[in-house]
Amino acid sequence: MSASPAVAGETSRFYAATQWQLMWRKFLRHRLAVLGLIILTIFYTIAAFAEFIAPYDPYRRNTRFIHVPPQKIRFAGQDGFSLRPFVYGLKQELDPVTWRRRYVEDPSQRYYLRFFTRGDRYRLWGLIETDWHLFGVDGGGTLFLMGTDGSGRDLFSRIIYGTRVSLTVGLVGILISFVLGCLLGGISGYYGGTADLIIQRVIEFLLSIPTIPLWMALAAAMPKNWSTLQVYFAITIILSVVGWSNLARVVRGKLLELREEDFVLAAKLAGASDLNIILSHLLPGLMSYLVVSVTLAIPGMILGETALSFLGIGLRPPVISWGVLLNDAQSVSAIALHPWLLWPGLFVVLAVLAFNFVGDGLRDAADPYQ
Amino acid sequence: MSRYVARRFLYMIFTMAIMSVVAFIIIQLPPGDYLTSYIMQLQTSGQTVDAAQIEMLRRQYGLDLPLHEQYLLWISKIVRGNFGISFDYNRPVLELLAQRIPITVLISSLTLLVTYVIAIPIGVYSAVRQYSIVDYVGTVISFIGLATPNFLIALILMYACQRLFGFNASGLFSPEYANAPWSLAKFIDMLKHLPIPVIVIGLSGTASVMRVMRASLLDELKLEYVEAARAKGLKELALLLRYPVRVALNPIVSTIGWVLPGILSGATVTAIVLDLPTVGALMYRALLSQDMYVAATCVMFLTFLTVIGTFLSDLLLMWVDPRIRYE
Amino acid sequence: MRSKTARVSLILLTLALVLPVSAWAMTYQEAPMLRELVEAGLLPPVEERLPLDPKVVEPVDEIGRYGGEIRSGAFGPTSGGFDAEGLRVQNLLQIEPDLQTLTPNIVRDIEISQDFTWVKLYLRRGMKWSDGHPFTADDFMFWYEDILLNDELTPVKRAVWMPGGELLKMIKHDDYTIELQFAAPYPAIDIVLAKSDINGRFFQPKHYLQKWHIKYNPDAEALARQEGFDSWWQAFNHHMAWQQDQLDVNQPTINPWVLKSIDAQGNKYFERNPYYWKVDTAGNQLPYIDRQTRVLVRDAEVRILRLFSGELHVAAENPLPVANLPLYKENEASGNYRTMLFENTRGADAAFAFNLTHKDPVLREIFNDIRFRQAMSVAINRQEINEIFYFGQAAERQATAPPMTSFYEDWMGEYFAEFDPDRANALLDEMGLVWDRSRQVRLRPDGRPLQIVLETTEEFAPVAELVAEHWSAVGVATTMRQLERLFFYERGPANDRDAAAWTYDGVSEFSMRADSCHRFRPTWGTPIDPAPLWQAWFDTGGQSGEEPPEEVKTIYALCDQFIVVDPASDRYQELGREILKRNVEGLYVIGTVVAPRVVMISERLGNTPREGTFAYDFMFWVPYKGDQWYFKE
Repeated sequence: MSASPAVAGETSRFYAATQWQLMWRKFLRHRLAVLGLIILTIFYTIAAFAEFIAPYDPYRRNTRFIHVPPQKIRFAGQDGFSLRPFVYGLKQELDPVTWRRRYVEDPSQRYYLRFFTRGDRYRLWGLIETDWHLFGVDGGGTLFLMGTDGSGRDLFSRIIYGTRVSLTVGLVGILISFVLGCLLGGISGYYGGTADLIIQRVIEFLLSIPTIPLWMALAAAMPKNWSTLQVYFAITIILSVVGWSNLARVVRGKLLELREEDFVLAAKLAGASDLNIILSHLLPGLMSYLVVSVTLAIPGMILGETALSFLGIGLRPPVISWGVLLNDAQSVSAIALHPWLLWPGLFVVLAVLAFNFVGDGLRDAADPYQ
Repeated sequence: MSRYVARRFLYMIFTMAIMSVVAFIIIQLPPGDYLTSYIMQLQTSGQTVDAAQIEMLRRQYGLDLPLHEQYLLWISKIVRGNFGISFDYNRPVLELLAQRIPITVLISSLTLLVTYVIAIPIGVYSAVRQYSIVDYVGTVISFIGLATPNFLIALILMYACQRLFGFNASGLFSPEYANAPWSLAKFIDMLKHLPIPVIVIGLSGTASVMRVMRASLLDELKLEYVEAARAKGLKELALLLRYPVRVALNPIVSTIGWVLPGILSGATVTAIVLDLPTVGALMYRALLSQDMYVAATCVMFLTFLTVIGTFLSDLLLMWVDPRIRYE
Repeated sequence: MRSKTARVSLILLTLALVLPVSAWAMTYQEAPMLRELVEAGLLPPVEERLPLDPKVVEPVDEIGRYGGEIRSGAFGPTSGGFDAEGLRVQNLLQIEPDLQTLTPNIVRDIEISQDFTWVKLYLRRGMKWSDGHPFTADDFMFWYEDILLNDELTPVKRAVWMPGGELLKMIKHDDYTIELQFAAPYPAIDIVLAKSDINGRFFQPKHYLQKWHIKYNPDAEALARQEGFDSWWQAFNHHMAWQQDQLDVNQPTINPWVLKSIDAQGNKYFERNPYYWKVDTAGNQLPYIDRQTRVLVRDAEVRILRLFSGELHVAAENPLPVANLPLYKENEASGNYRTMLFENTRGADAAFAFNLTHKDPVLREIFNDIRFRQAMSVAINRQEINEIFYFGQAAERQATAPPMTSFYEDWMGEYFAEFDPDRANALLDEMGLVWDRSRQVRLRPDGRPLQIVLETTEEFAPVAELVAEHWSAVGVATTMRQLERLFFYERGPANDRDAAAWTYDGVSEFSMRADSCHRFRPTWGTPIDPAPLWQAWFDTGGQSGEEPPEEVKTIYALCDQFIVVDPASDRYQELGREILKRNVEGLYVIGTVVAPRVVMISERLGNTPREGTFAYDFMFWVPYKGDQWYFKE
C-alpha cells in the first residue's frame, strides 16, 4: 500500500489507489447499499432544493381544501385518453349529519400536470427570490399528491420541507455520542484500572438518571425566547453528551476481551501508541456493532422525539419535520378518517433503511477479511 | 472475586447516595410545586383559593422548608423505610409502588422474553446466512418497528382491534373484571389484553437486539478461531453455539442490566396510551404534577435497578466470556 | 334568573310536591338488590329508610327500571380528574334543565327574606345518611361550628361564605330547621345553595367524623398519628374529603351512590345508597341504576376508543373536540351511543391574554397599550379558525358573557372581532412599532425585534398555532409553546410568560352572580391570568404585587356592588352592563369562537337529555338528574 504511484506505470495505478478504490468496488457490489446511497442522495438533494421541488408553500392554509385525500392522477377520463397526466377539479361537500367533509371530483374541469410551473413565491436559500416550481398543475387546479392536512396544507410539500430538519439536526447528536462513546469506552476497556473505575461510575450515574425528569429539567432550563428548533438542537447536543454511555459500555465490554488477544501484544511490542492500538486495531474488530449502534440511533433522532414534545422540548409546529407531521397522524380520527396523514411514516422508514444498508455496505467494504 | 463484589457494593451505595440528591434537585427544578398545580386545578374547576390558604397548605406539606431541609427530612424518612405520602393520591408512596410493581414486572418480563426469543435466533440466523431472504425481511420489519412511534403503533393496533373484534384493548382488564377477584375468566380476560402492549413495547426492543446480535456475531465469525474450529471438523451448529454466539452476546449482556429500568421508564408513553398501571406511568404523572415524594421514590427505584443491573451484567460478562477479568 | 321569581316558584313547587305526598299517601318499591338484603334481615324495609316526606320526582321521560352499572371516564385520580360526577352530586337546591328554576332538593323547603339577609332551610323529617344515621340540623351545625369556625380546618374563609366581608351565621331552630344570616344582602344565595356541593356543602356527617375532631375526641391526635398523619386536622380532612378528593370509602353520604372501593389504578366504584331520599311518582325509590364506576382514562384517544366499544356510557365534562365529530357520528351504531351538540356558555373556546405585568418593561408597555390588544384581536382570522376546527359551525365572537345574559348587548360579542389585518397593521404603525428592514418583524421601541412566546396546553394548541401565525403575519413574531397542563398552570403565578391561551368560561350570569363575578375581574383566577402582579396585590390587600391602574380597581368596585344588588332591580342591569362593557373594551382577554359542546350518551340509557346547555356554570350534569337515568333493556 505504500507503493508510490509516481514510480509505477499505468498498471500499478490500480494498486496504488487500492485501499479506497477497493472499498468502493466492494461497496458497489453490495446492491442494497448502493440503492440506499441513491435514496439518501435523493433525500439530501430534496432537502437542498425543497422550495423548488415542493409544489406549494408548506404553510399555505386553505379552508376550502381541509383533509383532501390524495388526488388521483389520471391519464383517462370521460373525454378520452391523454398522454399528459391530469387531475380533476375538487368540490367540498359537508355531510349534513356527520359533518364529514367529502371531496367530489368534477370531470368537467381538467388540470394538466406540467414541469416548471409558477406558484407560491419563495426565496431559495434565502437568496434567490422566485416562484418557479419543479412541477404543478394548470392555474386554478390543485395537486395534492398525498392529500392535505386539517388546515388544508399540502402534505407532500410539507414532507419535502420536513426532509431538511429530519435528516440534519438529529444526526449531529448521533455523531457526538458516537465519537465520545468510542473514545471513552475505548479508554475504559483498554486501560482498565482507575480510568475504568471512574468512567464506569460516570456511566452508571448517567444511565441512572431517568430520561423523563432529565428532559423536564432541561425544558425548564431552556431560555424561553429560543425557537423550538433552537431548543431541540440544544437538547440534542446535551442528550448526545449524555447519551454516549450506552455505546461506551459496549465498547468497553468488547475491548476488555479483545485487549487480551495476541495481536494487541504484537502491536504494543511493535511500538504502536495506545490511541493507535485502540483506533486502528481494536475498534475495527467491532465495526459491525458500531455501524449498528449508529443506525439504531437514527430513527429516534429523525422522529425528533416528538413522543415527548408535549414537555415543550421536542420538535413542535410550526417547525416542519417528519416526526412533527407524523404527530398529526397520532389520533384515532386520523387513523380512521384521514389515513393519508400516515405518509410521513413511509419516508422515515425509507430513510432509516437506506442508512442501515449503506452502513452494512460500508462495514463489508471495510472488512479486510472478506 | 469476593473483594471485587464487596468493592462494587460500596460503589453502589455511593452512587445511590449521589443519585438521591440529584433526583431531588431534578424534581425541584421546574418552577412551582405540587400546590401551585393543585391550586390551578381547583381554580379551573371554578373554586377560588387565596394566598393564606396556600401558605397553610404549604406548611402542611412541608413545602415551606428550605430545599436542603426538605431533602434531609425525606432521606431520613427513607432510611427508616418511610417513603412519604403521595399528595395526589393521598396514599403512602410505598403502597402505590407495591400495587404497580407486579404488573410492571409482568409486562416487562413478558416483553423481554418475547423480544429475546424472537430476536436472538433471527439475529443469529441472519448473521450466518447474511443477505438471505430472512435477513432482509427481518431487517425491514425490525426497522419499521423502530422507525414508527410506539404511540402510533399502539393506536393503530387498538383501533384495528376495535374495528375487527369490537374489543377494546386498552388497560389490563375489561371493566367487568377490573374490580373482580381473581378467577379463570379474569385471567383469560387479562391474556386478551396482553398481546398489544407486548407487541408494541417489544417491537422496538426486538429491532435493536436483532441487529446487535447479527452485527456482533458477524464480527466474531471472521476471527481465526472460528476457522480453526471449523477446520478441526466441528459441526456448524455446535461450533456456533459453543463459542461465537456466546461471545456475540457480549453487547447484549453489557446492556442487559438496564433493560429492566429501561422498560419501566422507557415505555412510559406507551403505557400511558395503553392505560397500563406501570411504575413508569406513575412516575410520569408524579413528575408533571410535582407530587415529589412519588417522583423521587420512582427515580430512586429506577436508579436502584440500574445500579443493580450494571453490577449483574458485569458478573454475567465474566461468565459468558472467560477472557474478561477484573483485577 | 330573577331571584324573586325563583323564590316564588320554589315555594309553589314545594307546596305542590310536599303537601299531597306523605308517608300515608304512597307505597314504596325498592331495587331487587336491596329487597334481598331486606329479606335477609340486613336492612330495614324501604318505608323505614325513606324520610317521612321524601322528594317525589316527576319522571324526566318515564318511570325507569332497576339495575345496571354506569361507567364514565376521569383523567386523574383526585382533583381535576372530572368524570360524570355531576350525575352523583346532590345540592340543597336542584338546578332544573331550563337553567333558571331552582327547586328544593336536599331541603324540603327554603325561605329567603325580602332583603336577602337571611334564609331558612327546612329539612326532610326522618331523612338518613347512607349508613342509616339520621340526617338533621346537627350535621349543619357541626359543619358551621366545628369546621367553618375552626381555624385549623378552615384557616381561610371563602368569599361565598362572606357576604359583605363578614362570615355568615348559622342558627338551629329545631332538628329540622336551620337559618343562615348575612351581614349584607346576599341575593345570589339561592344559586350558592344550588351549588352547595362545591361551596363547602353546608353540612357534614357529624356522627362519623366527630371521632377525628379534637373537640369531641381528646385522643384525636393519637388517632391521627396511628393512621399516619401528623396532626388531628390532617386526619379529619382526609376523612371529610368528598367529590373527586374522597379517598375514605367508609364515609356516609346522602348522594344516590356511595363510594365502595378504590382499586390500585385509582378507579372508583360506587353502589346505590339504600337510604336515598327520592322516589318517583310510582313510589320507586331512586336511583334506578345499581352501580357507578369512575374509570381512570389518562389518554383522550383511549377514551374515544372506550366510548366506541361501549365500555364508557357518558362523556362530556372533559371536552370532546368538535373536530372529531365525524368520527363520533360514524361510530354511533357500533358504540350504541348518540352524539349531541349542547349549547355552550363559554365566553370563548380558546381565549388569549397578554401579561400586563410583564417583567420586561418594554413588553409591558406594549401590552398595556389598548391599541396593541385591539390590533391583536382584529389580526385573528376567526372565520379560518371556525372552518378548520369547527366545520364553520361555531359562533365567531369576542370574549364576553354569553348572549343569554340579561344585560348583554350585541355589540359586545362583535367588539374588535372582525378579521382586519389592515386595521391591525395601522394600529401597530400608529403605536410606532415599525417594521424591520426586511419586513419580517416589527421592532420594539428599544430596537429589538418584537418576539413573544404564546404558551398553552394540548387542548388549545391547534388554535394557538394558527393565531401565532395570524399575529406573526402583522409583524408580531409569535412562537407557540405547548406545555403539559400542570406545567402550564405554574407559569402564570410565576409571572413568567408573555401571552397565554386557555378557555374563557364561567362567564354566565349565574356564575357572575354567585362566584363573586370573578371571571370579570380582569385579573382573577383563570390560568391565563393577564396580570399576576395585580392579582397578588388584590389577594394580599396591597402587601405584595403591584397596584393596578384605576380602571381595574373600578371594575373590582363595580363587581363588589353587583354581587349584593337585588337582581330584580334596574341597578343590577346597569351594573352588569357596565362590568361587561368595561371588560370587553379593555380586551383583557381576546376571544375567538364559541363552539357547541359535544355530549355523548349511551343509547341504552333512558331519561337522558337530548338537548341542553352544558357548562360548568351549571355543574355540568347536575340539571340532567342522574338518579333518574336507567338502563332500558
